[in-house]
This record gives sequence, structure tokens and C-alpha cells, in this order.
Amino acid sequence: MWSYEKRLQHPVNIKECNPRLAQVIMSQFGGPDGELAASMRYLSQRYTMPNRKVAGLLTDIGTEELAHT
Amino acid sequence: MEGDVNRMDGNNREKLFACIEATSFVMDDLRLFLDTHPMDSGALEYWDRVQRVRNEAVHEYTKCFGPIEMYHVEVDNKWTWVEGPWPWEGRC
Repeated sequence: MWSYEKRLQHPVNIKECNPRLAQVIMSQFGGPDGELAASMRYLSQRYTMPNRKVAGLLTDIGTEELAHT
Repeated sequence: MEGDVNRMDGNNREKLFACIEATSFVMDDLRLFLDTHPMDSGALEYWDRVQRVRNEAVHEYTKCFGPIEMYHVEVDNKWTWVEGPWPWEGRC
């Protein structure tokens, strides 16, 4: 079970308006090789991970990737 | 004697865990309702009541059987967070 905390993992301070950069960041976030895709990949790979500690690690990495959102 | 204690522990553990599951489930759904009905006094009272029970159950469970969330991990010369079993294996 996941729960959401109303905070960012790392503070963000946007200093200028840059739509081109924003486009890249949005793709890094939700695009084909972005954070969201990575998190779901880790979280489904853990079910077939034979090493139980690494299964736990995959849970935590998947969670970490979600925390980048 | 020791078996009795273990059995009692096991019973208590299951009861506490079931309590956490049930109260969490209520709060998960209440959250959705309250998101769009922030002044509903019945729902607010319900939240308050269930939250108390859940807090107590989580506190007791964590103290006796270890944390269910990462921020509650207490270290005593060993990192225990990745010791199973995992929830998807049927039991936490």
C-alpha cells in the first residue's frame, strides 16, 4: 500500500520560464523512458525476483522513482 | 509455556494487523468522499473516530512486531526493512 506525502523529495525552485526545457522534463516524467514507466517496471519486476532482499530493494527503488513525481 | 506466549502473540498480531487493514480501508474511501465533501460532519466524525483506532493499532503493531512503513524503522545495529515476508506473499 502506498501513501502520498504532501511534499517534494527535493525542493524545486524554478527561476525562469522555459517551455522547451519544460517539454523535456515532462517527457522525463511521463514519457516512454520516464520516471513513471521506470517505477512501474521496478514494481512489477519485484514479483519474479528470486532474491527476497532484492525484491524488497526493487519495492524501494520503485517507490523512489514514484517519489520523483 | 513458550508456545502459549507465541500463540497469544500470533493471535494479537493477526488481530492488530486486521484492525490496521480495516481502519485503513475505511480511511482510504473516506478520503475520497471528504475530498469533495469537506464539511460533511458525519464523515468528519467518522474520520476522527477511525483515525484514533488506526493510530493506536499502528503504534502497538510497530512496537511489538516492527514497522509497516519505512519512516518508522528503528535501527539497532542492523537494517531490518527488507526482511520479508512481503505483503504480496500473503502476509506482512
